[in-house]
Amino acid sequence: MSVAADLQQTSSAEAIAADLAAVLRDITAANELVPPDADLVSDSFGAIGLNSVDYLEFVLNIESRLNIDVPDEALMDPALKSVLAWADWLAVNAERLRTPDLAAR
Amino acid sequence: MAVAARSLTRVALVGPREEPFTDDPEREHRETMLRSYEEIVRDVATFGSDYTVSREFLGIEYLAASLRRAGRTVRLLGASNEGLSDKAVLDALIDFAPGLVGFSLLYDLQLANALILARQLKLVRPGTFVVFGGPLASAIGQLLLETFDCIDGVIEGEGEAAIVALADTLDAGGDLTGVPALQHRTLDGIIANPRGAPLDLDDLPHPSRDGIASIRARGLPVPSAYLTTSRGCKAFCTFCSVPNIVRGQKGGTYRMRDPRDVVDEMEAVVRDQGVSRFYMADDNFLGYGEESNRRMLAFADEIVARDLAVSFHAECRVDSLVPETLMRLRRAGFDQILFGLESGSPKTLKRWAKGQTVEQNEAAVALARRLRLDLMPSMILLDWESGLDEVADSVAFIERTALYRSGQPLWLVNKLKVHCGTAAARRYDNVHGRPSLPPLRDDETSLRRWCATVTYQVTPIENPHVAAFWSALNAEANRWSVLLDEAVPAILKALRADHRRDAADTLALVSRLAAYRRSIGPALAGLMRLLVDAAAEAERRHRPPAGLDRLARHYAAEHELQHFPAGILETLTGSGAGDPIPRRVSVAARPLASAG
Repeated sequence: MSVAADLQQTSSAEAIAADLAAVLRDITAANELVPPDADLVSDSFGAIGLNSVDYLEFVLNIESRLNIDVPDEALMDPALKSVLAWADWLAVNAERLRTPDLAAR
Repeated sequence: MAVAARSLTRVALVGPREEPFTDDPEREHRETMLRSYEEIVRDVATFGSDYTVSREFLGIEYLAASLRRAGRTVRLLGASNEGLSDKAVLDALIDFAPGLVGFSLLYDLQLANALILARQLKLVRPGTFVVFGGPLASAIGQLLLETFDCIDGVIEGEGEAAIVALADTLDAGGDLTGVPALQHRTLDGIIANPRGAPLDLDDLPHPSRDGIASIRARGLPVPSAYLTTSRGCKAFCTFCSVPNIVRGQKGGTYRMRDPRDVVDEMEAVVRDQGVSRFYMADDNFLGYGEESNRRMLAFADEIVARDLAVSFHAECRVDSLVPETLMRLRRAGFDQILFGLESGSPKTLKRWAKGQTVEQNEAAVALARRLRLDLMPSMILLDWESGLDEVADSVAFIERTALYRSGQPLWLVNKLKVHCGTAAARRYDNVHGRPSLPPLRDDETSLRRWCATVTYQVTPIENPHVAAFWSALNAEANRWSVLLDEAVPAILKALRADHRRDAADTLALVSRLAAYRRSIGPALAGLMRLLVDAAAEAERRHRPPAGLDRLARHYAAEHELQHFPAGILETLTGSGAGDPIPRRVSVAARPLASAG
């Protein structure tokens, strides 16, 4: 990957991370199990206090917000353990996951 | 005794299928819901933090690596990992035709199936040498050899050097008395060969990753790999089987690997198996004292220096924590810590020889939260001789530390299991006498009854008030567990599919379900308080502890109705997601809504 493309991807990842953190902030606003000092960007979902249902809620919200369809395998990937990890992954993959149908709903 | 020379090159190593015992109605539900890895993957929509563990069987993978280094052909059969029935394992063994078969018994739920398989194998291939090993077999080796002709030997403790020496001896037709740590029959009866010196962990080859390869070959996701960076433990907790494994090893009671070699192994597993998460299977990951601490720092720095993008879980004692070290490890990917807290009662901690205090437990919980580690608390709420005062201390501890605010609050509902070979088993025998073993016939029923008795499956609680508390609490926890562990994954899977068709409705339902799932922890703590107070009141008044089960049922039903006034299953099955709930789940969970 060229330096320019690398920079573009980094900047894209940062923007996505901000977007995802906003999603997470929304859905954890009423979650009394989330520590007040949690870093929603870099802490692992486990440390933030998300269980498997919370996690699915987060993913479904991402799909709606970004108009993408996340493949089932990604939900089983332990490497996608934080907003930061999701943002890096989406910076590379979001375009191919785009779903016009979802966007039109 | 010398054995006849034979050609022997193949060795099969079996991790037997686990099967829950069914003779204790008070058993925790999670112990009965053992499923193969393939079934788990099929049933869940997301691993999240609830499902981080694979069913890889590291013990036999270590044995396989040593045997392969010695030039032997080895076949591994991890029944749970591969989802193999007993017949499938037997067919594979017959097909592979090994001269030596090892059954590794980690714990009691594997015993009956291992014995059934060994019997069947000996009927078909009587010349096969069958050896048992692992923590459970190490604890009852003499009894196994006295009782079962289908077992030719039992290896006690570490198995790598012993299984290689056993295979070599069988090939050479040599004398089995030279095989370290082997218990076997002789003309003079059963003898136990001396255990060899503790193994140098850096001399062992890295475990063969057949378990992960098998998962990948079936196209399943690989959630994590098991890994050990040390072996043994210096503590003597009465409920733990490790002291029996390291018995007599003096300086080898706790041994560490070179941290660079550990990271070499991690790097290879990441590269070759596509794994990014590790589950450290050490008995005490952080170790003891300055030498261990230096090793941990070197380990963390090595991962960072190599820029390995990994995360890992580990189990630690609360008296081994050094904040600076934990922070360095966190930077290296350490994100989930399991503490063996066990109890919030000073009396209980002392009785179990835990060697740590309630204050240390509280400090450890606070530290893990300050460092933003995902905390998995290991608690044992009571045992067969607990007093209500001890239980009340633990409930108060759970409240003070808000331990119920974890991803798996139901794990707090846990009764001490008496494991063979532990100080707890010796204590139980001293008080109640050794278990009177039922007669064995050739049928499975009598064999399973024998296994249940020998492995202490039923240890009734002595104090009637503690017994009533446990029965009422565990019944409701089991209902929640059926719902969360069996119904909810199937519902989530259906909702995930629904979301692709109708985003808004599905999201609202998932949000409600998420709120209910989060509320289970605080509700559980409330239930514990309600029951322990009611039991204490009855004890104070010298009254029988009647009505706790009704109290618990009413409390849990009210809690559910607060979140789902029409009933949770009714709401979710009426969501248009079809009926994703298995019949057994709806039957088990439905009384919740109608109680009251």
